[in-house]
Amino acid sequence: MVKKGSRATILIIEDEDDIRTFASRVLELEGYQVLQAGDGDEGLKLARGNQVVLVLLDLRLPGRDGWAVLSQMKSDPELSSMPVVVFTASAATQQRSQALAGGAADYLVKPLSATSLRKSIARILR
Amino acid sequence: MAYYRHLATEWEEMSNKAVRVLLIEDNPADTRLIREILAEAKSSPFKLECADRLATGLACLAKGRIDVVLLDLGLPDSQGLSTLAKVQAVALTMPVVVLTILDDEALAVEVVQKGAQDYLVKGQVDSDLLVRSIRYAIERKRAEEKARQLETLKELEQVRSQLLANVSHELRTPLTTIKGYSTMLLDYDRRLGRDEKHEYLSAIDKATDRMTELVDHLLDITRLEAGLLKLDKVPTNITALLQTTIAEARLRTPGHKIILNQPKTVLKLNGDGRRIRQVVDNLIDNATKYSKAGSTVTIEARSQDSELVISVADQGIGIPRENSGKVFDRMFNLEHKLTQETGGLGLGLALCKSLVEAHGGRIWVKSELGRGSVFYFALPQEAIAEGEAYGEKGQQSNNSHHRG
Repeated sequence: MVKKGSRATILIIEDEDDIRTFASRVLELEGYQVLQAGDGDEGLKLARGNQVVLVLLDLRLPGRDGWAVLSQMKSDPELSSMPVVVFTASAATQQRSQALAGGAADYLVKPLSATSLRKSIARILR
Repeated sequence: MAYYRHLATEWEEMSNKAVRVLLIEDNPADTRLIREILAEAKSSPFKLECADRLATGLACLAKGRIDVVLLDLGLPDSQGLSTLAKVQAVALTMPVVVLTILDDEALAVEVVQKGAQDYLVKGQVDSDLLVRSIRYAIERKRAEEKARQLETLKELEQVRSQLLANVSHELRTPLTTIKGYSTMLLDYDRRLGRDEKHEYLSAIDKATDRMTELVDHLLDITRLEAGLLKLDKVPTNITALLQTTIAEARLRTPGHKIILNQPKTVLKLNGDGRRIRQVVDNLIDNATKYSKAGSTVTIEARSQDSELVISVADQGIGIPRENSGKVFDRMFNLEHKLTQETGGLGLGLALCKSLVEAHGGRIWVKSELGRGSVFYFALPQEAIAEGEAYGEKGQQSNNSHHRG
């Protein structure tokens, strides 16, 4: 677990208020600093220059959707090494492999427990 | 095997039974010629009915008992391709053979493209040709109908699978709230403050309400499709119904200014108050969903030409002209990107349309892109006997339930 004082920053891009609050609160309780964005454009803005160590990304977003954000990040030299955990309501196998092939570090299906979220993030940032 | 036996029987029946032909033709000489040809046809019996005007022909079609139409396009009361269109409007599944004096290849193609099964040039019609053309038209139309039914089934299947995808997404959103917050409350119990816990518990509570609404909505759609949704039509006080509906809508969406304009005299009609309310609720939710907080939603009701017209106007994003005819269409909304983005099943307006039509009413929209939309629906106002008790359906009994 990350110690206080050296708090790593995680960016959450999610349009549903309740779900964004849930994910941020769990990650805060786990000792991370959290940035929140409600859509893809705002998310891409926050991803730069904030020493973000990981992005939690919803796929279904208004305007520029999560798929577009993922491919934009992976083709941008500044952002391409940042791990992206995709967070979606679709359990379709095809989408999962598409996201992983597109550079996602993990694929989390909603609904999701606090434990699953915590474990996925911890595994990637270990 | 059974299928072929069925076909064979059908064919036998067709060959033995007289084919009922309706000839719509104003030229007595042509009528006489066709009558003679059909009377002499040995291979199969024909029963001919004649009409020398389109109006007479359409009246005959409306009565049914016709297998095929022979149609002259130039009649005293209708000329050209619109003659065909008027016949199709009355009897969409009727095989039609068009007759004309012109040996016009372009018209022939057009007539067939517009849905006629065949085309005969007068003066070139002999017995074999006419009989074959009639038989062929009937068979071809039958095949076309089967193909059309198959297409409808495919479309229905598409609607179902898209609906399932939307339902699954819509259920997952509140489920995610419930699962997320409840596991958070369990895992971090000691580290969460009292107020924070309360916030999460009320979010869980709201999410369960949303799921209940979704399930109810889905059941309504299913019942409507299966024709199982029964209207409970009673004399209903629409003035009171609208007041209650709007008061609750204001609580639900405090960000919008919701205005109700209705006449001082009490509006009433014979209808299912619960369902009418559902239509108004859906239209208001639709209006607030597609317009900015702070903007105004205006609900108006008036009595006009023995109809009760209710409108819901917003100052929202509006509907592109090319889509204004499609917004009540199930598939359009199910697949539309806006539905994917804003959530919801995408069936609210389709449900409104079904509920309004079940009342014998109609629903429509006027919209300007970027300026807003006005949704209207009109319900017939049948006479309500003087002195008959009316009220918002079920209100009284509901209230006593609450008290009990």
